[in-house]
Amino acid sequence: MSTVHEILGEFIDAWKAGERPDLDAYLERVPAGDRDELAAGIAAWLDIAPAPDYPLAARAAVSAEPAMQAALRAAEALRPPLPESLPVLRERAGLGIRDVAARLAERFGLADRDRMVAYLEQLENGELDAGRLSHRLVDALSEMLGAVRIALPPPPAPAAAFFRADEEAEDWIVQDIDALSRAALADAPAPMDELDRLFLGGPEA
Amino acid sequence: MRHAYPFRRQIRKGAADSRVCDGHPPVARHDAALLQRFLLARRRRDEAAARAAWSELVELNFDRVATLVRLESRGRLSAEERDDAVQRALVTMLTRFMDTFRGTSMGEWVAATRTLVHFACVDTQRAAAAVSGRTQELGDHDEQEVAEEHDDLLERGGAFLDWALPQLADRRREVIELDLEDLTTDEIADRLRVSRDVVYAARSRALKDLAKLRGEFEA
Repeated sequence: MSTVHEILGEFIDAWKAGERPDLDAYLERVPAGDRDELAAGIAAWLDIAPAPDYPLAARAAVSAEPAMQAALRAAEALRPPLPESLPVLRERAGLGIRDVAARLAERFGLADRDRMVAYLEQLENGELDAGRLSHRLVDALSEMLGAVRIALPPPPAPAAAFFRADEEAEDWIVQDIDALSRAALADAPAPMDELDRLFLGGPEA
Repeated sequence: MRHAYPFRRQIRKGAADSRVCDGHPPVARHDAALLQRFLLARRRRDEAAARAAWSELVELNFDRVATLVRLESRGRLSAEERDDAVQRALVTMLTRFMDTFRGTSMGEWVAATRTLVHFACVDTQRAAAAVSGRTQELGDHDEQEVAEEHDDLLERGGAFLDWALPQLADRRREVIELDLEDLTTDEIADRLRVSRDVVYAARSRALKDLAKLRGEFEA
């Protein structure tokens, strides 16, 4: 049997060479009574060790690790939608909705803080489509709340083409076209101001 | 004022007139470069670039996480539970840790990772205990405790080597410094003009000293 010093040294050399040393295999190489000492030495090394410069094959093997792949997929699925993440980030930053509104109002030179608060409340309650937020607003929120750029939902898929409804059309198509016809005849909505554009104008607004 | 280490650069600087490090260019660390890329992208609010750099950094440290989980859970988690703990730690690193990491150096990153691995093992054992009724052994925690410990480690993690290395005996410090330069045992032995056994023993004792000092540092 080799000494703990030697085995520890071999583990460290293998780590540095990017050989991905297997802990259990090294522990088995020392008597049972010495394993805690070796484990403690390896733990102390891992506390200070730089990541290895892996050879290409080893690096590819790390990327292909099932646990790594599963974690990447899980992390992607776990990214919370904005209505969920915003209150968490805000509370972590120690800010109330009114504080956030005040800072945004100041940043964008807007006077109507009550409307700003109302928009933020709608956003947190999931009543506002996060896909309509402007990038300027999201950037300001991310910066204020100390987060990497807050995730926005993906843009909606393009709408399917609409064609004239003939006599054999499904009922829902007839109803949708009726609704569109009524909308087309209705008065145009009031033009958006800067505050509306931030919350409703879409990413480029 | 305490410094957050990229320790290699500081060791180089500190060892400029030391015979063990003379004449060698500083080593550009891949992990430190990735962390800097992440920090830069985060400052620019470039989520895609930040996430890409961060994911690569986590991937590069997969073996560290997996080995730390094994060390943390020796005899207390089954192989399947260890896999679960590794994945749990990785997911946290890829999500919450990315948003909350406030450090600027790999030293801080590694210190925070160690804490995170510890709690991933605790959570895994807790989940297993809930199913099997097994008694918990790895300790208990709540979210607040995790957050506090994480913050505390970030405050202090980066400064550990700056504080600890000068306290080691000369030979032990020299070996660790050369280890951090990626020299092999044989190269260190050549450089210091000693036998391999001397390097093995000095390194082993140095790591033992560092473990003790870390306990003191974090107490």
